[in-house]
Amino acid sequence: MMIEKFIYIFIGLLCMSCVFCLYRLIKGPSLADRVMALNTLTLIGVGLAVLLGSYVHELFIDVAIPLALIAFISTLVITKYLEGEIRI
Amino acid sequence: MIEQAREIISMVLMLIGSIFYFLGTLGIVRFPDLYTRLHAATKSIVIGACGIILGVILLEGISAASAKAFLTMIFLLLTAPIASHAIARAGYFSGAKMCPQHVVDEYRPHVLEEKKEKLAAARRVRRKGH
Repeated sequence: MMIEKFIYIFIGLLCMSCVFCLYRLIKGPSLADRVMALNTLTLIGVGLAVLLGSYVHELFIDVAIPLALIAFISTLVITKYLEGEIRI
Repeated sequence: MIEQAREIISMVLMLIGSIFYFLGTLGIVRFPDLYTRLHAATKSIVIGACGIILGVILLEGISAASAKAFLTMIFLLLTAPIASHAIARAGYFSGAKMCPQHVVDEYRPHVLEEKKEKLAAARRVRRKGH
């Protein structure tokens, strides 16, 4: 299997992009920047789950679908709150 | 022979996907503005996820796991544009600044016009109530 040689490169690239997203999540000037960084982090989690599903165990792919769902719905709710249509 | 070609093609797809992830998040760090950052984030990250998922599907062959991965890809392709549109709209209305070099803001007149119409409608309702 060739994936044993290359999986560390893929996981390394994804972890570097996680670090960049965390930078924007901590520093982001506006709240919408932070929401964007969180959404991107969960999408990176989807990619990592699918990669590990091909290498470690098939069950990791099941994690990807709920992660994508949760990212979408939470992003919509937070943006509706930011627009002022939901009051807490 | 065919096995090897399949593995090589799936590795290339996964490499393209992770490089797209890396470059998209590099854009998130480097661009000056919420809107340009969204421009970098959404498109390249969806392409990266699609690359990785297509590579995994090609590596696994037809099975239940690859069907789930395919469903995830379709879900991402459907929902990522909606999410980024909502983020840009929320940023605009909650006061995210454009970068100082920006040239034109074509949404501002529409927003002002809508606000004027809403005020006029409220005034009409109030007059009817009297």
